Amino acid sequence: MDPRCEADFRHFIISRSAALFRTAYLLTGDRHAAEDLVQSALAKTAAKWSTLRDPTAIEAYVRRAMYHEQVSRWRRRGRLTETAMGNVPDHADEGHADSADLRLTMRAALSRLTSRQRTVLVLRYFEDLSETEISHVLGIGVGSVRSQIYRSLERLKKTAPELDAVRELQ
Amino acid sequence: MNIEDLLRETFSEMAYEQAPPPPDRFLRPRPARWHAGGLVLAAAAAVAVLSVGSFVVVQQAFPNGRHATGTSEAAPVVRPVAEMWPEAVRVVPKQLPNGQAFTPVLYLDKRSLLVRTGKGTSRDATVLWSYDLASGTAKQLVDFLPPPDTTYTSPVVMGDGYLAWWTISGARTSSVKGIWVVPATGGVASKIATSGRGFPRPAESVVVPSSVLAMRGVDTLAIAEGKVVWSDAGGGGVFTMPFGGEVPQRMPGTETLTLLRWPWAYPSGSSSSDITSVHNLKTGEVRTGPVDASLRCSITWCLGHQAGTRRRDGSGAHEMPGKQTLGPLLPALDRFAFLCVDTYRLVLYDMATRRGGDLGITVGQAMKAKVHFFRGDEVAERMMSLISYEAGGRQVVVDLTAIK
Repeated sequence: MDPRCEADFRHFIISRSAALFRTAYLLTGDRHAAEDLVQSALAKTAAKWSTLRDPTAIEAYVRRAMYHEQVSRWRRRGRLTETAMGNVPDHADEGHADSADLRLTMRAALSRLTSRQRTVLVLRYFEDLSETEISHVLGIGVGSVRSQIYRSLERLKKTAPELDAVRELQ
Repeated sequence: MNIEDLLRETFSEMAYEQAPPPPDRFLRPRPARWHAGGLVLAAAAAVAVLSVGSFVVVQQAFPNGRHATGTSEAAPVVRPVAEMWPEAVRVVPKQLPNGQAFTPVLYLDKRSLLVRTGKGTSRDATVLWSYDLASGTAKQLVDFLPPPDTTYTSPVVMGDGYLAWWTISGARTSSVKGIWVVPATGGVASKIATSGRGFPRPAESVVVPSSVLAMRGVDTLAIAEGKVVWSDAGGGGVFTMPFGGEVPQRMPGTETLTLLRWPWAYPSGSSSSDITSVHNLKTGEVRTGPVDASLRCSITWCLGHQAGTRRRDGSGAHEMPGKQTLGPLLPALDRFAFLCVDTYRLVLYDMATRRGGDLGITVGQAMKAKVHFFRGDEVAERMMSLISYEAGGRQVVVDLTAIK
């Protein structure tokens, strides 16, 4: 890579690594795994750097690399390496399910999803991508995205029934 | 609230509980990093999965001693922004009387806001309105027809009785830039500069990194000294043009400089996170530093990776409330930061006076609402004089220039 590309790459990392890390942290649920994921995606991007001159294309490429790596990592290992969430309760105390408790319950429930399920939820509810955008990013059909999201939400509710009652509690 | 909203809140809470590692984490000293045939980044070493602690608790006391009493784990108490700076905060509807959603742009005077509707493309052209704060009525202020195939209309700046902005039209490979002005009292907008027709070529010796700015064609636009002043994202130089048009002139001695905020410029090619010197185009004053690469400095104030701040010259160092700065890369208007306090609340913080105001929305809501100061739009960040966001079905407008 020539010096100009190196400078570009440096600038990209300096300006975007924090945002990439945040998404990676949501995908993995673990700080170290998140750093690894970003690094691995950046390495793949660097190899393609000369063909990616448009800044939007660069970021899209890195992100796509992260999503795919996260999904396939889980496939390889057969099990998501999920972080133990300290003292996150499995179920919030009944009758005290305020917003903070519910978020803790949600985190515990998220840790029981498959990597693919978690990824579609991050793309939909954190990255705010549409179902069509998600289908492009993950290379699957829109129908499949829709059913993944539906199944993921159902699984969250099944894992933590109090989440199903969120509407009534508010 | 439903399960989807809860998911959004949970994700945004999680996203900001871990401070991102410094960018250096992903960069290694040469030559190990750069090999012939491609880049080898620091190897993705196998790491043991460690337990993430529970929530990081904000422990910094809020400056001025305004923090919750009791345990040391208490989060700082930050007063609502409308109580902290009542003169700077207005609440307006989301829609004009004709039902169109609008975005506040700037204060034309104490009684009226310049607001815009439309996406800024040819198909959905930007319309600029004068919105009367007392009566809630709006009238179209500017007659502006963007050129065919316009893909972007920039934010608007005001000065010396004029409004100015720019457009990008055509395909990316053959896009045309246009700079527009109109008297602030309204009228027909006129295009005073078009690329390819006397539009100055930037100095080619300067390499500008790929960035959001490069896509937009113009870095920063300002009105000063009776002229429109701007820098081109394609290279170095600060250019001026009288309101009536003519041939744009490059200001002498600015071949390698890019406008940051009038009258200050910085070495072209620096990214916003790495502006190591600023140059005053009126007085010739140069401010250098800092040596610390983890700081992102505007003219005076710098942001650190977490909630540390100081001036470019090293003075005024202090910890801001909360644990992290969000939003714009550089301090807005050279002195404001957006902080995540108490895990998810969004706070506007003035580094100059060390005071903060709670914006009344969560970080997640700010991201969901795609507010401009939160979406990495550096062009908008550099040109904004106010922020606006949705809360409780209305729009809150905070005039940053009114905060003293």
